[in-house]
Amino acid sequence: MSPNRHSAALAVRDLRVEIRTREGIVRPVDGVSFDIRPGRTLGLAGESGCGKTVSALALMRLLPRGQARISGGSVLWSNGDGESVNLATAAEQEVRRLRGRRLAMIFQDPAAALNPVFTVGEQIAEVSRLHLGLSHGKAMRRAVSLLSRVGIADAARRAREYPHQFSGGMQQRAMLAMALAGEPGILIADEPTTALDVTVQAQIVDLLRGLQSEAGMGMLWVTHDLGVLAQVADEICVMYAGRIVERAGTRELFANPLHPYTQALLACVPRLHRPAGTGGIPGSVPTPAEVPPGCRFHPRCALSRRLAVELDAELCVNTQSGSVLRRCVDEVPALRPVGADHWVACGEVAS
Amino acid sequence: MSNATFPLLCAKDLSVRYRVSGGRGVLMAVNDVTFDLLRATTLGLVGESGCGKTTLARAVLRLVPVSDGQVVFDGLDLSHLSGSHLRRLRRRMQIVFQDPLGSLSPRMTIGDAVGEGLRIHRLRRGSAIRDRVAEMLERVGLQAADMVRYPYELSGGQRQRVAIARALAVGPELLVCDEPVSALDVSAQAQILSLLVGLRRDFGLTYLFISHNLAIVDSVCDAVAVMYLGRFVEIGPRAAVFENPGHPYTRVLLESVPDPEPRPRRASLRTIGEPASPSSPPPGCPFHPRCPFAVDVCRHDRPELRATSSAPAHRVACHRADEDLSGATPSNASGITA
Amino acid sequence: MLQARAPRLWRRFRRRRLGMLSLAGLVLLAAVAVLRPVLASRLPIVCRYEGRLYFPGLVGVLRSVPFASAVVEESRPFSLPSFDVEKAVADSSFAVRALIPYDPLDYSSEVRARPSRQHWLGTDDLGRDVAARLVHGTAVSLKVGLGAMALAGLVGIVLGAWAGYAGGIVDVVVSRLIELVMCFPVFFLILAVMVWVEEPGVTHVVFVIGLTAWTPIARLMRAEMLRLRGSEFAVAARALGAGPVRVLVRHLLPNAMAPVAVTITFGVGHAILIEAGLSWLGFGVPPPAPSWGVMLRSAYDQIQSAPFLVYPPCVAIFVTVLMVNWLGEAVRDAADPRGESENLVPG
Repeated sequence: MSPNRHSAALAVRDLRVEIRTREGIVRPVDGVSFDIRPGRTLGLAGESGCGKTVSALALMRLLPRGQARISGGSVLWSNGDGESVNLATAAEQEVRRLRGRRLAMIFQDPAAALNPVFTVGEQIAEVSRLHLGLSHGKAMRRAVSLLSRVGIADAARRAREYPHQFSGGMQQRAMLAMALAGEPGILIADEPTTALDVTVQAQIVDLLRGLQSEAGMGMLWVTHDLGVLAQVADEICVMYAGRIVERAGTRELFANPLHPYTQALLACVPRLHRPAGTGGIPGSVPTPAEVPPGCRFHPRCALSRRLAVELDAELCVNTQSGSVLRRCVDEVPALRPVGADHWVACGEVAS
Repeated sequence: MSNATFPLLCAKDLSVRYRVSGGRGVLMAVNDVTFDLLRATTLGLVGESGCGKTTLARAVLRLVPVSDGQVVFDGLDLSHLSGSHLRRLRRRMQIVFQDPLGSLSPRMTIGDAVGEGLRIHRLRRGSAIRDRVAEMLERVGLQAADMVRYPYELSGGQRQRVAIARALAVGPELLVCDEPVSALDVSAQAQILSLLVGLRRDFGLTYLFISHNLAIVDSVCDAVAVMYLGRFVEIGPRAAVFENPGHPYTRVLLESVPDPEPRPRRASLRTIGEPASPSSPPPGCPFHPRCPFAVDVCRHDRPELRATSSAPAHRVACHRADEDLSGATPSNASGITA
Repeated sequence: MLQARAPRLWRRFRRRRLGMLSLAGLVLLAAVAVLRPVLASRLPIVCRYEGRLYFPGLVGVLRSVPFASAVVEESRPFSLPSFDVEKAVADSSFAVRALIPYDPLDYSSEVRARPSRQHWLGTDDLGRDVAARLVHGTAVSLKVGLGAMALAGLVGIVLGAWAGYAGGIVDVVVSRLIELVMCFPVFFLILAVMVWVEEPGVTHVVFVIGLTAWTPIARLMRAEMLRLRGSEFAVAARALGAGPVRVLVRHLLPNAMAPVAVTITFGVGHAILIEAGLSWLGFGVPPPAPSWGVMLRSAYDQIQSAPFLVYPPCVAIFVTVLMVNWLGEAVRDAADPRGESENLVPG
């Protein structure tokens, strides 16, 4: 175990990703900055299509080659020891050395991420052999201990089974064991509980929380469900159409959500003892090819529309989606601090 | 009056068995399930994946064969109805599936999909089909112009709207919703849920609503049934089940709902592991291996559904249902996690 | 909306350049097959002979049209075997001759002549004009290639779909039948059958090849059906009240056709080559009728003395098979509403 894995961190600055499509080049991630700090969990929330998964893949340099590329910004990985690598520009070989060892990732669909023709134990052992240089026997013994660490009972027997013999929750645990095999300082989890039942989801949340405090990993948790983030994240970035619209400590964000999008997203989370009928957010996330000008949320923004009714007509402008404030269409709002540990990208809220 | 109290759908001792492929052994997907669904009400069906709730949903529509027991729809026993009779009846009972991409044929336009039921049952002809399709699409929040588009061109929420329009186009009375929002984003979830609530009001529909998330069921249902390994372990009016859950499994489900209120991390009730395989259910109470409150009797005797002391319509299958377990120490060490 | 589907398919198909090119090429080939008496014949297309106007070439074309026999009578002297066409043409005041003024069966003393002005592609071992034979062979090869695969496709799709969808005993019987036909040495089966037929003709060849070449199609169709049978959209259709035939035809088949269509087009080339083999052994198209297969086989025997004989039938078969495959792929792609996949990463 390396002594400094407890202080690995990832600083993302102004990250931009370009994807080539038939219609031309689009930017699903357009200037995103955040930090993953040791021992802390950063939540990245947003609807599908907002660019959160693309951001996560970009950090791991796993964007599909030839179609998508990091077109700007930096992803600075550092291990507290003075060693640091900019993953956005580093050579493929350098990235491969870090991937799986210093940075690991788990996905939404574990069934697709595990190879069906190898036993679960072999797949976990493979990672230890590759990154820690263990012998086959040692690696297998380590795989068994990792499996029991992620809460799989009878791990020695289970290690000899194939992925299809595992239930969904156990596959997710196995993938987690695989991710932990390299003893990474940073773990990126892309919707790790979305495909699971609520009971199993709660178990996995508990497990990841426990493992994190035990190992001091920095974690990035990508999800569309703010309800889950409330339980795991220390800090949350809300993303919309390729940009971060609000960033705050978890408690602050839930107590005092400022951006109209965050408020709307929060109202969507299903809760006990509250009737349905909030109706969700009207419309859907614009595709990267057709992002609106100004604030990208303005066509769906309730605040802008409400203020447009209250304020003078000269401050407003009529758009396809009704009358909204002129400044929401004209100005691109920057992420500005509104309090300690709280940033918002909304012209109205900040002023 | 008679319409209001006469159940639209009854299941009586309903069982669905599958033979396990390549060997001996029987898988009891649904086991001895009984319930009444009154007109214009919604029954929520909750349970983890593999508990048999999807099979039950398909069995009440006779999309899978019923092994034992009866399904009665509007006084008509479906269990042994012949193919053509059944097909005619399908107009009155429809289903919305979990994955709208999978349940819409990729080679069919939205218009063809929504209009298909009208053609099958000859409810409309010629241009009247088009008009009805347009009407339904607009009712679920899409546009008539979307008719010529294909499912892959739509977002998940829009696809689910198409699936709902397809089901409603033939004018059903019963709508089975099989996890209709589980595959969607939370924002689309909220949209679809409020759409379903509005449609129920406007068309006087009766829903059988399936979900693994109690928070979702809470927002749309009048009554709730909790299913575990093919059996109902608790059923009752929504308020009774949510305020006063009688089965430990129901309590676990309630505590597992992600709560968007960050608060000091507290001890909460959790189960360990996952359900046993329905092909080899444990003896005694099926939930006992994961139950934090299991005692000896739970390991040997299977509890029957019994009315609780609080409400007669609220029935629970637990030996310890009448004890107050809220303060009890879980007998299972891993039952509580921090 | 059903009416709207065909134009939509055509619109998507039109965007595919290779597909359109292949379609044009195949239409051209079909035209060559139909118009062969005008393209390559000893008989003139039109001529004035002894004061009367005759249309022997056009009559040849019309002869293949069922109700045109009345016109055939008009060119009587030309169609008589004893009639000396060369003399008649020389005598006539006006004659338009075919592009290739030879019959495919006309022997001459010019044996294995290299390509020249007179014989564009040379002559074969019996002094017959290769170009004329190639043109006339088009009809036979297209009939065999397309006809046999249309039949095989029909049998394969119906049996495969039925087996896959119905399952149970139907599946067992069809699957065993597929295995039986697959294991059988098909070529010898065909030979055996052809021996039984008293006067083997092109139609027999089409049937025999068609009824043996369906197995890969049926197998693929069955597998696709097994895959699609349990799909949720099939259950959704049943829930809507659709009967088994509707589920099969409207929902499952359109989704299963893509890989099957490609298999069928690959079969076309195979059928043309089987016909060649049969003809060479004397069990195919009765000699001396020309077919590309017959030409290719006889060219093999003389590859040392007249290598140029190999190219025309080879190129013809190659181009035809290529175009049919391109056409099949284009139809498959056009049938998929997604077109070229977008390959966008989910975000």
